[in-house]
Parts: sequence; structure tokens; C-alpha cells
Amino acid sequence: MNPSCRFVILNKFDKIIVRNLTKVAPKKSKWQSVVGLEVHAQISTNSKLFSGSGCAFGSPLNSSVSLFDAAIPGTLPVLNKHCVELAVKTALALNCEINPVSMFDRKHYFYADLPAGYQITQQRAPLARKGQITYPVFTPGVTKKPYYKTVRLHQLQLEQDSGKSLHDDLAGRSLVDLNRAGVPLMELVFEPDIEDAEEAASLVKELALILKSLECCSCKMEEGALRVDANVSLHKPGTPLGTRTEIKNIGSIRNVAQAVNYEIERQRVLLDAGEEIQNETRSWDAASKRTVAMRDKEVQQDYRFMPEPNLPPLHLAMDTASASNEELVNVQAIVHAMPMLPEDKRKRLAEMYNLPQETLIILVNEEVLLDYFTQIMDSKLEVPPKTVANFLINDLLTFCNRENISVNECKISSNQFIDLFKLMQAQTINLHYARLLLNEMHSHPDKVPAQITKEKNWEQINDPEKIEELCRECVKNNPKVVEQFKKGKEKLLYALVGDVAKKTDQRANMAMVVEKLQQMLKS
Amino acid sequence: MLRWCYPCVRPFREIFVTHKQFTGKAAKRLFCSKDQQRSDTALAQELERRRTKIDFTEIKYPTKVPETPISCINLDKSPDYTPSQIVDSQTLQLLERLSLVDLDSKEALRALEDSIEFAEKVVKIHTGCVRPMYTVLENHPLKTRPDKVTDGNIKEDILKNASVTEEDYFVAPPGNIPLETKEKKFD
Amino acid sequence: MNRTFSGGIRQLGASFASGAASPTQITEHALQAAKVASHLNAFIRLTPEVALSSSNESSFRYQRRGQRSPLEGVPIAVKDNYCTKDIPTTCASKMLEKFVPTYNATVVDRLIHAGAVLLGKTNMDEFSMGSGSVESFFGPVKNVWSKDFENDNWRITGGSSGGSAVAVASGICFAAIGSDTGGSVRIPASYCGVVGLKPTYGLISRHGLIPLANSMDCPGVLANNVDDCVSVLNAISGPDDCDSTTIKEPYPKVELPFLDQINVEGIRVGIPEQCSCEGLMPEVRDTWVKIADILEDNGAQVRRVSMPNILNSIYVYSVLNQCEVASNMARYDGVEYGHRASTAASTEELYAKSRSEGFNIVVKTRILAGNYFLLKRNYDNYYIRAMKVRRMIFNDFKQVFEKDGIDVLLTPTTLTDAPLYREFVTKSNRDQCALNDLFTTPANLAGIPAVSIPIRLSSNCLPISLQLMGNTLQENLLLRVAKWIESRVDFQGVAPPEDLRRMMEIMISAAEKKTS
Repeated sequence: MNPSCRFVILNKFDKIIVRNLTKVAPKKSKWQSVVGLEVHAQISTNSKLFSGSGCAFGSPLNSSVSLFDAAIPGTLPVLNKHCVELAVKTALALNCEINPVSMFDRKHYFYADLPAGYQITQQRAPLARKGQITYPVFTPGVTKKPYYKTVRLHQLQLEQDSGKSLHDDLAGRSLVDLNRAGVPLMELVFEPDIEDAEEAASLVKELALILKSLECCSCKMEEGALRVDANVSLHKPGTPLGTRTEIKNIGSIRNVAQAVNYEIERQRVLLDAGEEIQNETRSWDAASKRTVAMRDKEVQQDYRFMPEPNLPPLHLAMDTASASNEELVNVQAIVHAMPMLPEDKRKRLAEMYNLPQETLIILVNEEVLLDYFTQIMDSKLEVPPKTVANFLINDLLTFCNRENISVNECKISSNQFIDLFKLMQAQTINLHYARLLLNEMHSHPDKVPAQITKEKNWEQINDPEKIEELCRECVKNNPKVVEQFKKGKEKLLYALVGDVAKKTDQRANMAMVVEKLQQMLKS
Repeated sequence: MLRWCYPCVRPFREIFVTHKQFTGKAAKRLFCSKDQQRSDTALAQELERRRTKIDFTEIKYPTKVPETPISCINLDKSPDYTPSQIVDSQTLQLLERLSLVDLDSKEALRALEDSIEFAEKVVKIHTGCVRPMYTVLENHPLKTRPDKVTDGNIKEDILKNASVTEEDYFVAPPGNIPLETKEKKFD
Repeated sequence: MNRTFSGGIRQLGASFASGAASPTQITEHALQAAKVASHLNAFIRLTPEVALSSSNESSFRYQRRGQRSPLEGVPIAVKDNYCTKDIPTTCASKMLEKFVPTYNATVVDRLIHAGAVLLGKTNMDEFSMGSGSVESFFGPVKNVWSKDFENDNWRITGGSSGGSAVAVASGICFAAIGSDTGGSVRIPASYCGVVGLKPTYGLISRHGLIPLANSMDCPGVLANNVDDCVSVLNAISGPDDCDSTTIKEPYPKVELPFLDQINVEGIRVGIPEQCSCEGLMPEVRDTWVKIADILEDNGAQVRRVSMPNILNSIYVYSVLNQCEVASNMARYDGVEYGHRASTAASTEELYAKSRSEGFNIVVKTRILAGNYFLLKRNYDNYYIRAMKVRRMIFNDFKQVFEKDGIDVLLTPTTLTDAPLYREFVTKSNRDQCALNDLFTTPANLAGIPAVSIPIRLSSNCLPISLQLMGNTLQENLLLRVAKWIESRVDFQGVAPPEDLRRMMEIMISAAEKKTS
């Protein structure tokens, strides 16, 4: 088959793939998908893995580069202790077996942004292995009910990042900047325990939460601080695994789901048509929302791993006996200093506030929401936790979406929120004005909600006499409705309530209005 | 070469510190005294100084060096010797692509095959359950450094030895194009 | 005439201090001597400006009694695989012909700090791949002991630190720095009649040493005598934050007693029986036997020991060396530094062309062979196995030093005296190395210290040397025995002028006739 012919056929399949993907409920398939993830997380450190140059994002070209990073002959690697500490921390969080002695290896390949011709990594004796992560799978609007999934971690290793090459196709050349060369990475290789796209995306989400709470990685995917490669294959249940493809270049958590989904569907369509899957590396093209084959995969790779002779084995102090050696990274000390992990937070929230699982997941997923929530709850308001959580999840998130900002960009302080809930609790405002307050608080973070309410005249009408007056007026103005209500169309009560609301710009205390109207009409 | 004083047969640098007249521009002169005749006595003296005073044919004790030498390494090959390990053309192309150096002659191919055959000796050694040793410092725990920025900001030094640069970038031709390797035929 | 000056560094320092000579004078002389000896091709580059300015500073410091160390003002040459700031460092390769490091190797830094005068960068085998110093992009190095320098009739120096050995043997400088991966300091020391020390792996920093095989590379010292070796060793040894393979524990400086306080009584000397092998030149064997006899006669306990694996060293070394070479050479692609081919359509083509043009055939073959051994399908069979045999060799040494209680091992350094260039080049590079490295590679594989000391002249009027090996970090003991032997044999460390060499040859052959 010549390349152009293959291109045409792929296009033909493309249509089917896209059609299938847009179907609301894809038909049951005889194929089972198997997904494995490899995640590269940049370790949050000041300096590089093996040299003293800085890791700051966006420094001027080739400025955060030491002679070692440029592979100048005669230079040697010296390991950054903090990288080891943070990797151990991550390994503990992922329930790994930590290797008391790990080693570094060289992985060879030629590429313009790999100046040494090899990458220092940990292939044979990585820092940790045999871990596992148990995480909730839940994407509002996509998955119906949350469930827990456990995926095994094959190994966790330290390695160097490569530089960056810009392909200037017009001038026919690559421009190489080595600022990123030697930046510390943790590579996390997960076992192919995942079955679909949402499980994959949720895993990355949970991992990012863990790494952020450990302060091991910024997890800014847009800066390349967290990179995900996905291996996808399809097979019939009970048969050996099928040929897999590897997807690179996945730039966000949503893209993880889209890319894996697309690739599963692509393979399904090809297999259904009797085609064979090529073992290849594909790239996720976020613009066209499809995976495309990368050019360089015709060539057979052999990385020729060998031990890095410039780095003797890395020993860790595993117990108190060896902890006296201050040179070594002390694992026990790290165990004692472990922060709370997302799952711990969910468990704690569940115990304290008895919230539904969906709520727990969303709260913990959005660090800012969780902060608001805990601070509001800590202020000992008499508001039910569920009300607070729902207001944050539904109303605040809706507001942010409408304003097209992320929750992190929301300028509202938690004190403002506390005041807001106080106002609601005191019935000074109702939900409608509470929602409107969000906008005001965001634009005026310095203002107290009570003040805004007063200025805007948003206070709820709670005066029973006033309410009675309003109701009486409403009854007077709607004789027909009242008549029909009295004939038994009790639902029409809400038409009257709506009328009062409208008259008062929604300021009337609706509970009181309902009560009063019922009282009036039934008498 | 060390300058020798021709007449007194002494290495020049010794004369430097022993002969007072060898100061100043003396280094450019070839001898240390005005008398340019080589003195036989001096020559004899130097010869005597350098003569081995030890009789290497006589020993007092039974020697601990084994009398019969053991056979260890035989590199004598007949002229028509060809190494038995033949690198097939596919492997050769793979090696060239992984190494990015060319194997440009029959001699080079022979040298490669000879190297591989030489290494076969290792393959035949019985090693049992010995652990591999990649560094003699395996029991010296790796020393680490604190996480401080102590290096970098040396862009000029980094770019100094590059033949081609462009606005502080290194420059390479387009990537992702596999090298074409041809099948080798040496006759 | 004052006969006490034996040409040593200590005495030179005393003359500097007394004002009898000045560093500037000695440096000028050394530079001129190097020019006169240019036919030996010992230097790739002399550094007269640096040398003269630092010797002037040294002279000034002596005048003010502010000398920094025993090396103050002493001219020293450095092998051209040590990075020197603003001075080209070529590794004798076209690949690095125009490479100008922006930093100093730790060894160079420490020499400068000690006040030594850097005379120049010495010639070597390209990227240290060779044992003859005949594989240099700048032409081969010729042994100063040769009787004929024309028509390929000269003697090789041994390698790969041949330039450093000749710079010392010809009296140009007082000491030189070499590097020893499989014998690259000891072999040329042996062929050129100087002392060559390869210390314990990790005692001297490799930072700035352009690597051959990192797990075995070891900076080494070449000098006219053991005391001079110690002076240089003390200036450059010790932990270095830039090299994770330097031994962290503080190591006391080597201090040798005066000769009259050294004796070898009770010293346990091992003779590895495997070193009595075919191909050993009878005169070399006689020398070995005689020195062991002299040691025994002076109270040493000389014992035969068996080290069943050491002769496998060359095979293990060959595999490990080529694998590390394949890896280390991967960085030379012409983009960041080094030779860059003029045109290329793709990154890979640029790399391939630059590398093919920049490396000699020995380097290329080792890269290909190394990559062959590292292929996934071959890795266990060759590389892992070689590392296993490496441990067996290491254990052989542990056995003799720790269980058998041996203090030092005595062996020949090389099978023969310096070969003729004409004969040497008929063998392949691999065979040359296998023959030359036979007794020297075991110390590199085990990381232990070893020293080659010249003993006498052969009937060809060429130096014959023996090797002493000691246990890890036992430099003190090793060099004490070396110094004792040195005093007994009284080999003069600088090659005599040509006419004298001719007379000596006549003298030696006359003596031979008398005994036979």
C-alpha cells in the first residue's frame, strides 16, 4: 500500500469515527479497550536535576543552561537532593515500594534537543515501583455515577528533560534552546488497567491533585509541567492484548479524555473493517480533535540502555538506624511530614459534613472551592453544609463560567462568602440576590456584602405586615386565579407567588408569601 | 629535548641551579663553560652514573615467578584469517543508524568483526550468580547537592563553541528525517 | 660541582627559594627545550604566554616568600584531554580541533592554585583510544629513547598519554598529567623510563577530563621519580563537588619518609602467577625475578599468589570500554561544539557527516562495536557478562589484599620494551591494545592504585619497568615500596643525549657478551 492510498482510506474511516463519536450512546462493541498512561511530571525545584542552573519557566534563550546541560565535554552530573525528596514523597503518596538503592541509566537516541545523545533516567532500578492509585471516576455531565477505580503503578523514576527545538520549516532548520534541558522530571508508568477515556482523565486529575497537595509539581499542563502519553489497544475479551498505539502531545486533562476516546474509536473502526493496527506513535491534534501518525516511526528504535557510570548508586535512609547519615535522603522523615491527600480530604469531608460523593469529588477537585467551603464551615455558621457546598458548586461555578474566568481567578474573599451566608441565614437576602451579589463581590472585593445589599436595596422583605399587604394586593389584582384556585387548582398558588416576586423584584420573602397566600386563600 | 651540556654531559636544568654562570640569558646557550672540548672524564662519569649496578642474572632465593609461562593470549593469525563472527548487512545498517558513523572500508568491517570475536571470550567465561559491577564505588552512597541555583546565566560560554547560531539559538537542519543507510559491499 | 641536585621538584623549589634559579628562567628553558624537541611531537600546543605570565607571578611570589606549594613555579604539561579555560583542548581529534573550553578541569585548577606553570597540552591517541600514541590527528609521538627518528624506525612511546611521558622523559618538564583508563599512564611511563602513577579511582576528580570510559578513567601523574609524583598527587587529589565519583572521605596527603627511613622488612609482596605468561620478553622476566629477589633479600615476604581472572581483564576491558565509548561519543554532533559538516539536509545527516569526518577509524569502529554490544539482544550476553567478570576480577584483588594479607603486587608493566613503530603498526589497534594493556587493565577494573617504575635498560638500550599495585587508597604504602625500589635500581629518569645513548648500548651489549 503506498502512502497516499493509505491516506485516502484513513479519511474514509475518519468520517465513521467522527460520526460514531458524536452519537449519544455508542452501540455495544465486541472490542474491549485497554489504556495505559505514562505521565511526566516536572519536579518543583529551584535548580535542575544534575546541575545548578535554574528551572524557571520562560527565561531568555539558552540562559538557564550550565555547561553540563549543554553536554560540554568533561562535565559531570551531580544529583539535586530535593528532587529525590520530592520523588520519594510522591512514591509514598502512591503507595509504592521504595528502592533503598536505586540507579541511573543512560537512554540513547539522537535528537537536536538532546545534546548528550542520551538521557539520564532510571530504567533498571528505579526509585520506586509497584504502587497503586485509587481514585474516583466522575465527570459531571459525562459519567452518571461516581465510582472508584484502582490502577497499579509500574514504576516511578527520576529523569532529565530534553531541550526544546523549534522547527522552522520555511528556512528548513531547527532552532534549539536548552533552557529545559536537564529540568527534573518524574516519570510515572501506570499499568494498562484503565478501560476507557473517563477513567484515564480522572486518573490524571487525581494525580495532579496529589502532586499539587504534595507541592511536588505545579501540574501546569500549558507550561509542560505535566505531560501525558497514553497507550491504547483493543482486544476481544479473553484474548491476548492487541497491538497498541502511543498518543503523545496531550495538552490538558480534557484532551486526555478526547484523545483516548478518539483513538479507541479509530481502532474500533479499523478493526471492524478488518484492518490491522500499526504499532506507532500518534500525536493528538487539539485543533482537529484527532490523533495523527507521527513521521519518525518507521525507524526501529533500540535505546541501548546502560548504567550511568558517573553516578554511583543512590542510597536512601529507610530506617532510623541509617537516618543518622545526614548525606542520605531520610524516608522516615518524609513519611512523618506527609500532607493530607485528596482522598483523605474527601473522607474527612464525608465524615464531618455528610455530603454526597459527587459533591465531595467536585469540592476536592477544585482547591479554591474546598478552601471557601472549609473556611465558611469553620466560621461556625448555622448553614447546612450541603447548602454551602451546593451554592459554591452550582452558583459560584455558573458565575465563573458565565464570566469566562477560572475559579482561581475569582476575587471574592472567603470573608465575603461568610457574610453572604450570614445575610442569607438572617434572611436579609434571598438566593436570588445572593447570586447577584457574586458579581458585585467579584468586582468589589473590598466591599462588605451587607453594605452592597443596603446600597442596592436588595434586602429581603420580611416584615409580616408588608407581606400581608403585598399578598392582599395580589389577591385583589388576580380574582380569576383566586377563583380557579378555590375550585381546586392548587398549583395556581405559584402564579400568585410569582406575581408577588415580580412586583417586589424578587425581594419578598417567598416562604412568608407562600404561607400568607395559603392562609388568605384557604380562609 | 632537555638541553645537555656538551662538555660536562650534565642535563641543562641541573646546571641551572648548580652553575652560577648560568643565569640571565644562559638558557639559549648549549654548554655551561667556555671550554667547548668534551671532557672524557665527564662522559665516563655520566656513563658510570647511569650504568646498572645490579646483576640481573643472579638471584639469591628460589624465584616465586613461575618457571613455565602460561599461555594467555594468542593474537597470531594466519594471513587468510577471517573472523567467524559475521555482522550481517541488516545489523550493520542498524549499527550505522544508531551510531551515526559510517563504516567505510573492508578493513573497518574486519576491525568491527574482530572486536566482536574478541569479546566472545567474555561470553564463554562461566560467571555463575555473580552480580554485575558497573562502578567500583557501589558502596559509596551517591553524594547529592542542595537545591540552589549556582550555575547558568553563561549564555556566551554556552554558545561560544557552536559553529552556527541564530539569535541565541543553536541551529540544526530539519529533524525527524531518518538517515538513509545503504547496503554495504566491500570487495 | 654541586651534585646534590637530582632534578627533583623539591630541590627545584629549594633553588627557587634560595634565589639560585627562578621560575621564569626554568620556564623559558623548558619552552625552548620543547621547541628543540619538536621532532618528538610531544605537544599538540605549547602555551608560552600563559606559562611565562604565571612563571613571572611565581618568581614574584618566591621573592616575597609567598610560595603557595611545593609545585610553585614548576613547569608541568597536561594531556590534551583536560579542559583548559581559553586554551584549545582537542583530544588529538579533528572533532575538537577548534574546541576552546570556557572552564578548567579540576586537576588544572588545582595545579594553577598550587602555583604550577602550565607549559602546554600534550599529544595522545585520539580520544585516548590507543596504547601507542600513534593515533593522533596531529601525528604520532616518538619515543625519546629511539636511536633513529626517520623512516618509521623509531620507537613508540606507548599510549595513550605518550606526549606526557615524552615531555617528562626528555626533560622538558618536571611532571606531566596523563589519564589512565586501561594503562594509558603506566604504559608510556614504562616505555619512556619515567614513573607513572594511576591512583585509586575516585581519589582525583575527573571533572573536566574528557572521558574515554568513565567507570575506569583515572587522572594520573608522570614524573622522573616517586617523590615528584607524590608532590603532584598531593596537589590534585581529594574530593570535588563537581564529580560524584570522587571519594568523599577526607584522605590524608601522601607523605613518604626519607630514604634512610624506608625499609621493606615484613612487607608482603605478591607475585601473581598468571602474569608469567607467553610473550613476556626474557629480559622483562629477569627484571621481575631480580627485583622480587632483592625485595626478599631485604626482608620482604615474597609470595606467589593466584588471581585466576586477571588475564580475562583485556576482554572485559575491551567490551566495557567500547560500550562506554559508544555512549560518551554520542554527544559529538557538531551542533553545540565540535566539527560540523558543511552541508546536510537533516539533523541525522548532519550528525552522521560531522561524526564521519571528525573521528578517526579507531574511534568509529569502537562506537560501532560498543553499540553492537549494547543492542537489546546482545546486552546480557556481552555487557552484563563483562560487568560480572569485572566483579570476579575485583574479588581476586580483594582476596589477595584482604584475605591473603598481601601489601603490594609486583608485575611487569608491559610484556616488552618499546616496540618499533614500523612493527607496531602492522597490528590492528585492538591487538596493539590487548598486548600493551595485558598487565595494566586489571587495576582499572578494580579501581586500585598502581605505579610503573623504570628499573633498567634492555639490550636495546630501552627502559624496562615494573608495576606495583596496592589495595584501594593504599597509595602511601604502594609509593613507599616504589621509592625503595627506585633507590635500589637508581634509574636516571631523564633520557640521556643521543651520543651517550649510543655509548650505553655498546656498554650493555658488551656486558651481555661477557655473561653469555
